[in-house]
Amino acid sequence: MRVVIADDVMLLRSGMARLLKDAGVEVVGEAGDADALMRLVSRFEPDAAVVDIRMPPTHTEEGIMVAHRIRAEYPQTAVVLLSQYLEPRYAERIFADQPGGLGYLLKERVSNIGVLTDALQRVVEGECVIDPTIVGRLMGRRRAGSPVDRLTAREREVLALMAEGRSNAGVARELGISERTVEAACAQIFQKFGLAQSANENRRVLAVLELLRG
Amino acid sequence: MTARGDAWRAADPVFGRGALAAGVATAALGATVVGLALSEHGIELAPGLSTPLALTGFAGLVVMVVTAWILQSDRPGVAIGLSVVIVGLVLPSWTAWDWMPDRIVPILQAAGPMAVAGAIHVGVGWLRLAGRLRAALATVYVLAAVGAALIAVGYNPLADPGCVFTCIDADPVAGSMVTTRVAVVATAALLVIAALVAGWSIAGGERIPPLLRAGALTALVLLVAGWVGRAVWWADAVPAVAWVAAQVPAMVLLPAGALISWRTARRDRIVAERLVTELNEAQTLGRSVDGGHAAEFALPGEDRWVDSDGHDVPVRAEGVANVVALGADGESAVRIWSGPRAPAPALDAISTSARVALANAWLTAVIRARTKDVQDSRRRIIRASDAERIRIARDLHDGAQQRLISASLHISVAVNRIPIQALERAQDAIGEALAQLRSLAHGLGPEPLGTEAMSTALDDLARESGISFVFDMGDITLDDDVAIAIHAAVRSVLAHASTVGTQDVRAHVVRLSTDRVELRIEARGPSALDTWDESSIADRIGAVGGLMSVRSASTRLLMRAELPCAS
Repeated sequence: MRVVIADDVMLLRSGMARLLKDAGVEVVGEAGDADALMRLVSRFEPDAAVVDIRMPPTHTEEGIMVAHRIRAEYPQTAVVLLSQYLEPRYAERIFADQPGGLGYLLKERVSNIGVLTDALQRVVEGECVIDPTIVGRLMGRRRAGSPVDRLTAREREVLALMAEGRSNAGVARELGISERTVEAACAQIFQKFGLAQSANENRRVLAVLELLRG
Repeated sequence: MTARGDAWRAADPVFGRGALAAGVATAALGATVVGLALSEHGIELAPGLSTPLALTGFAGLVVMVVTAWILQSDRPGVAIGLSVVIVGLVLPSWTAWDWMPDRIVPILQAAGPMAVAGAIHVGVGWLRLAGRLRAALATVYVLAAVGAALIAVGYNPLADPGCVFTCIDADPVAGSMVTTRVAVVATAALLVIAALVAGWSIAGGERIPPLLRAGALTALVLLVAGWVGRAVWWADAVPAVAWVAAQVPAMVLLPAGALISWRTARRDRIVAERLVTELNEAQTLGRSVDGGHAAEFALPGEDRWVDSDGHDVPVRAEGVANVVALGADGESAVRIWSGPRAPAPALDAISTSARVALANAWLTAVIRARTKDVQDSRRRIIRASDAERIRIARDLHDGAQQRLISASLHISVAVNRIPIQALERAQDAIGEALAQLRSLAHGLGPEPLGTEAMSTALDDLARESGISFVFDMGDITLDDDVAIAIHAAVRSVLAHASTVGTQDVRAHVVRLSTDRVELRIEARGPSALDTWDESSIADRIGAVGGLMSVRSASTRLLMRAELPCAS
């Protein structure tokens, strides 16, 4: 897998690059701001970009904007956004339109390289990945009449892990149940969310989008 | 609002000195008419004068009496001056009556010099008589009185070659010491001195209306010239007749000047008072004054002018300002700017009630300006506090947190290559430190909140509290500090509602006008909603120029706040 990294703190960039290289990921470029990142993406067309949300010049939401640009202009490049703190409203903005190929993790999560590489793998495959902490908050803040209310406790657990970017096997491992049980729960979730089978739509992504909407 | 009298003129009662003087003048003129009717000469007013000229003079006297009555309340000084002129002019004519006792004739002649003093009084009587002006007028009256006394004790019509009226042998009481000629010459000299003493007061009195000033000065010159002519051409009867003839234009010019000036001033005063009324109404209704005028108010102790809303006004490059000081200290002042087509209002002549209204408008503007200053100060303090909290939060995120994450990453690199348990423990410790730091830093400083972001942020808060929450602010755009104040208010109510077990909170922001919005937060719950402490929220809302009110009962809380917004 070929990735580029964008973070204005050089020490973090280099640490992350070292970790990814050690995990067998090819880091083809590092950028300190959004413009430099776009140039790298344009030049190398990587499989994924790891992007800090707050970057120069305003240190507010440059990362979100550049992520949407990358997804619009280079759809083959997935993006994992990193944030220093929990902000569910960031999640809603990031995944508002098309959550496939996008991930949102807490920055400190990347020190566990397994989490980062797993997330990169999932977004490259077109799914979306949301930090477990944020998923926990999203699960707890549903509006009245939300379709999530119609799910059973087990289905909610499966949906939460799905939102974190776990595969069916990963979900099964985490919950200590069989993959068939997970598949059955997924089918129930899709049915309760009204997501009909379609070749062009990633129902796992649409289910997570429903969770984001509350 | 009436248009009668300003502060000093209002002190003169309606039937005061002006009315008394006008009454005396009316009586003198009435007596003249009666006397003429009883005289063997019929209605011949003065020997040597043509009838049209004499009738013009008589008409002038009538107009003077009428003018004295009109002005007796508004401008009593002018009315008194006119009355003195009337008496000074008509009393000498009484000597023509054949039944008048001879001993009285010199006394009647003695009234003549007083007409000169009266003409001066008409000019300066427009102004408030104080200080040097009062002293000058007193000097004039003393000089005229001395002249009158000389005429009374030394003038014998029979010894006057230019005797105009009945030239009897009056045998004045001091005739042996003061000859008739000496009396006339000395009186003329005294009147010249009086004219010089007071003439500059009239000529230099910028606040005397030009027409009145011109009329008074012309009348003064004509009357004094008559006396000087008689003194210089003593043996010639022509100047004496000319002296009487010269009185005629004086009789016309004096009342005409006074009457027109009074009329003009009254009109200007009404315009000014209407402007003051408009100013008060506009201030109450929060709009600007119409008619091409702009009112500005001086702030005491500062070189600042503010508008009726208390906002600082820019320096004007053009236009005319009429400034009126409301107090003796000069610190309370109002100025009205007039556009190129609008006349400058006569603010110095407005009535007492209008002056009080103007003072109220000034006071209101000053209070608004001071309130705004305090509000600006509060806003600056809150902004500084917010900025400092944001800076601290940013320092934590961008400094300590980044370094810890960086350290954690590098430890991970090391652990991946050489697994060491101590390093793994260090990494766990860093993870805990990061979680604590994140919790500490996040929410420390308020971030600028857009409409959508605020709605989402508040939804998050409510959902975390498990409260049924509705927030709606349409597409209203707010300044950052107003958005932060609204966010803080809703957050505070939500936090309180959560504490007391309330399930339902609704918050709406609606536009009241182009520059004001209303925040309305309503919470319903089982109990204790009235224990919400709104003081910090009231401070924050006040600091951004808002007003807040709270109505609460145990089961219901209603908070309303009016706030400024971008138009």
